[in-house]
Amino acid sequence: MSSFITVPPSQRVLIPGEAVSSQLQMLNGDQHNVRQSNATLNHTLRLSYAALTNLEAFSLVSHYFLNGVFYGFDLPSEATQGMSLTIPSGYLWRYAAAPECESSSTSTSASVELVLKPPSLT
Amino acid sequence: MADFPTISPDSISFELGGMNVSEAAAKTVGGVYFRHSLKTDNVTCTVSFQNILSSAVEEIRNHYFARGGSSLPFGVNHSSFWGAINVVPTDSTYRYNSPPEEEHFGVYNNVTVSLLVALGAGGLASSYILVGEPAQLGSLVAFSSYAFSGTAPFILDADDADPAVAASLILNAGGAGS
Repeated sequence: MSSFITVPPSQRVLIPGEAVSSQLQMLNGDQHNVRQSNATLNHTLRLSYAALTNLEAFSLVSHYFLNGVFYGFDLPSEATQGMSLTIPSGYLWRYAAAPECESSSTSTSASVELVLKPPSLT
Repeated sequence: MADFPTISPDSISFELGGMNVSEAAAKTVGGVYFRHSLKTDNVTCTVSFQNILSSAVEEIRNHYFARGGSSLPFGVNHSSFWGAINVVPTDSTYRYNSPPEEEHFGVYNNVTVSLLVALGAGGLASSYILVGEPAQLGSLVAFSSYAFSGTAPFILDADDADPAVAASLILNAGGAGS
């Protein structure tokens, strides 16, 4: 299985996952929250690449075609460098949707949205 | 209750929520309003931090995880958080409304945080944590095992049986007494 491209992204958006919990609105105005698990779900990472070469763009697209939104994979350190992100053990990233690419005659810009999934769901 | 990191935001927008009121439709006089308590709830604020270092971003993220996402309440350093804005009481408690959104551009980063505010020491202040401790086994007790021997099937009569000597078989589960 091919690996995710090792090009550092030009921009990155991280939305940390949400702990599994339910919010309860009481009649007297209290707002309670019941947490059901220590797991956090749906870390979302959006990576934007400003100028990929044709080879890098091909590598990105073919990685998506091999994994789709179904198979989980690890990210190379370049994708998360400088952000001190700790991934829980066994969690894997998955594509949330197909990468969006825009090509010019010389380069391709692309954005990728990934979701972190617990081991049982990949 | 670990306070929110003492990082001053660049902008704060807030929604002032409302009284805890419900409306009942009535044909003759229109809507009739019922006020259920003296609380004002659903006060939210969206806080934006612009051009902060990765270490500060990590501080906010770690605080979010330490508070169990939106589960546990926390306080803020009122002067560094609100500055001169005087909107909510200083003893208000807060909870994450949604995960903080981080934008990474290299050295400097932006973070947007949405918080739910309980005005004063209100409903968010209390938290009840139910901890499922490991079950403790009782002391070990000698037991006898009974094996069936003979010709199958074996039938245990539970209703019409009338044994000459009352028999009982007790299975002790953990520390259960006989």
